Amino acid sequence: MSMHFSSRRTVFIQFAAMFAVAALSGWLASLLPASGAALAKYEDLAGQVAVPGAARLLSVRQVAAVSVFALIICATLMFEERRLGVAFVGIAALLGLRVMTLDEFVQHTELHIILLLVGMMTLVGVLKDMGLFTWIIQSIINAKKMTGFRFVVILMLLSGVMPGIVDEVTSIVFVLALVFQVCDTLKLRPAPFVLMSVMATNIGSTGTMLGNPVGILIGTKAEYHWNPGAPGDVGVPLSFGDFIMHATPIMFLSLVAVSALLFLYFRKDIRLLDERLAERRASHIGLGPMVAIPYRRGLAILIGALLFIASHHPLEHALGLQANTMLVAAPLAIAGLLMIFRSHRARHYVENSIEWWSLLFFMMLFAVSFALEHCGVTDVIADMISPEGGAAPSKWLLTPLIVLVTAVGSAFVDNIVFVSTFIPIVKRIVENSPEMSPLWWALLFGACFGGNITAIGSTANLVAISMLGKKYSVKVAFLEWLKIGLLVGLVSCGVATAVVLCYYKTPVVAP
Amino acid sequence: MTAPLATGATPAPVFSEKHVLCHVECADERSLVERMTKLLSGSVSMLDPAMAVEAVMEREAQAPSFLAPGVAMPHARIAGLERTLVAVATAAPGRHFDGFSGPGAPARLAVLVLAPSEAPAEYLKVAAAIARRLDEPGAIDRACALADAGQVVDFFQPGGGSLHGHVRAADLMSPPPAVLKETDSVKDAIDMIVRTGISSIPVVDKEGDIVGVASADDVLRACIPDYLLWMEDLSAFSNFEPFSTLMAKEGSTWIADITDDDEFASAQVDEPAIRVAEAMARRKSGTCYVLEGSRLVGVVTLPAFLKMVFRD
Repeated sequence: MSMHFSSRRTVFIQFAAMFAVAALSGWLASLLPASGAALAKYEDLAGQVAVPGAARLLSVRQVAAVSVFALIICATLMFEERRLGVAFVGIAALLGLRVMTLDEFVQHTELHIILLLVGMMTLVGVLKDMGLFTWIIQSIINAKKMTGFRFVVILMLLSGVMPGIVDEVTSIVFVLALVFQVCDTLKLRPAPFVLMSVMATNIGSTGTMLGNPVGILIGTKAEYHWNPGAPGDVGVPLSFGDFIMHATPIMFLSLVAVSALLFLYFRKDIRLLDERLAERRASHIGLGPMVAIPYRRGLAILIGALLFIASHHPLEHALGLQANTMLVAAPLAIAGLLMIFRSHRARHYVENSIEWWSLLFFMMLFAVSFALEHCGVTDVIADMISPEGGAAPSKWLLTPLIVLVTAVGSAFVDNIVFVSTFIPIVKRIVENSPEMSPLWWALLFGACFGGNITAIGSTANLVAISMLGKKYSVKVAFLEWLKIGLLVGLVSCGVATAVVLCYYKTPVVAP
Repeated sequence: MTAPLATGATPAPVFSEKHVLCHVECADERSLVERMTKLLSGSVSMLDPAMAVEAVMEREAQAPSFLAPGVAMPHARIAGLERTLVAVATAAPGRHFDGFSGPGAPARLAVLVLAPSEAPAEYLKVAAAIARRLDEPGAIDRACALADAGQVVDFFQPGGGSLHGHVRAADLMSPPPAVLKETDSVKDAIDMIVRTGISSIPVVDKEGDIVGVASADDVLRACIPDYLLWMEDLSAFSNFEPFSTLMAKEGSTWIADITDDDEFASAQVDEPAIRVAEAMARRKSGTCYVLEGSRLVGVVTLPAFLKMVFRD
């Protein structure tokens, strides 16, 4: 009874803290000067309102939008299970306070991103059913001449590459099945290997556009200037190919640097793994059953799907479609076809393979981010950093700053929260100074690599911790994670910042 | 003279000289139960002797209650009884009670227990106390040799056998029916599981300390790990292919290679018996291992536990 009471008291205190933070954020927002662009937008929408009145009204809207955003951040931090509920209430409040209209809300839930994720999650469900992941795990487990070093290299590579093909959550579930099988059989402490795989997963999730919802969001929302200042240069969204050309190399460089660090940090556990594997090899006993898994169809579907998605940019060009149309259409078409051919499992895929909880939260979050942008809050922040018509900000200052702020923020709050808020800010900066386009990459790497810093920094971390707890009743202490997480965060963010700085181009000066 | 059978915080069930029959001869079980119940009839106001006899005989018809070879413990739970009542009867030297045949030897000593049905621990406490008293070598012979009711009461007095205020894990346990050594192979484990029909077998080291539990589930999981279950169905392996890897190596695979490190349900021998229930509930296990330090001394299975609490 006392425990129940104490738990209710804690929840009450958390709620009180959440509303206090929201109120404080709202008060701070009320001090922000209303942005000229937002005022103009408001006048367009409600032309009959005079500017002074509009300015006052806008301030109320800013307060509401910032407060709801702060509420959602607090709910993500304190009540993982209540965050969707808080987001629903927040959206209802924003609609009720006329911060946005119903049409604007529907338009800005970014349904195309949600549908892309739905398509990919369905594809993953089918591939799991067809034994592709089982085959990969079995092949590694039963590989001949496996040593501790080789296993960890394979583990890091697999964890780094898989999220770019499937999503980071599917990847970590899949990789941890491998880790648990090996640790169970060899009687090893699983936590070090779980940490290694989850950190590689967070890094690997930046490798392609599909690795992380953050990548999809940045890719579709970015306005990248490839030839800043050149005649006819306009900001365009990033494609799958752009990620392969620019994000994948940084991901691999960071993965190598972080792997070296983790090898050093967990050298005792790797040595023990090596000894146990050697004993096992000596007695000619494998680490699991060896069966002939019919994997070929699954592999063919995966390769076909990846090729289809990867070719979205030339396809759009050839068909005269809007940028990234095929990026959404391809996974939907693939998922649809698979559901038609495997109709007996179609309902299972939709009901069990798709993370509706996360997707609904994303939709609400995207709408709140729009509200911030719509009210001019993000414009005001962007104008503080890079004023319209002013001198271009220094890449040497802004790149590390964006990486640092998003990394630290993402270490404590879901990275998509930070990225969706920062997108309008980066968009505005790039709008004012097109040569700052590489900031989009800085945003991507800061948000994803920052997730490694704490145990709550990314969805993959939370899934890994939950799996570890359920299977072994093991908890990774916050400080234990932070100790290695900070090092990994520093190294990976350092590598990413250094390479992103090389991506800047001097703007073409008109003759 | 009244002898307390229990010490501790809970009210002690008592029996006195007037509840003892020494060196009696009886034609059958029913007549002995009737005579013993008659001794108790004046002890409490709410006892209906005829109904009590019927309740005891009905309980005995389900399964005769023997505490140890030669010691019968007919009993029943009676609704509305104020307190636990105990009567003791011994057979004439060299004789035994007709109709009381139990495991090992026919009964020479009978302890009738009538306990309130509202207090499930009461009967168990009495049974545990008497079992502890009779646990010493030759104790049953000595009890049966006593010709005087007062001496019988003295025999069961605390001091000779201490009585806890609660039922201990030790009072519920039975010897482990099957034990594996840590040096045994998976083949030995499968053989024992198949032979005994017991699905979880404790594994001990050379000192007798428990080091784990090998279960049929471990064997199944070694053959069909989680990642195989990701597949929609395993009908592609209609020839039990996932089992063939372990089958080929079962003789050279140690038990430790397939058992997981999950903690098993255990309780210390002197801990209150409720710890047994707690351990089984927390671990979602059907067996609790009773330990003395780390040494395995007994097991309590869930069906046996439920029988003792609800039916005995």
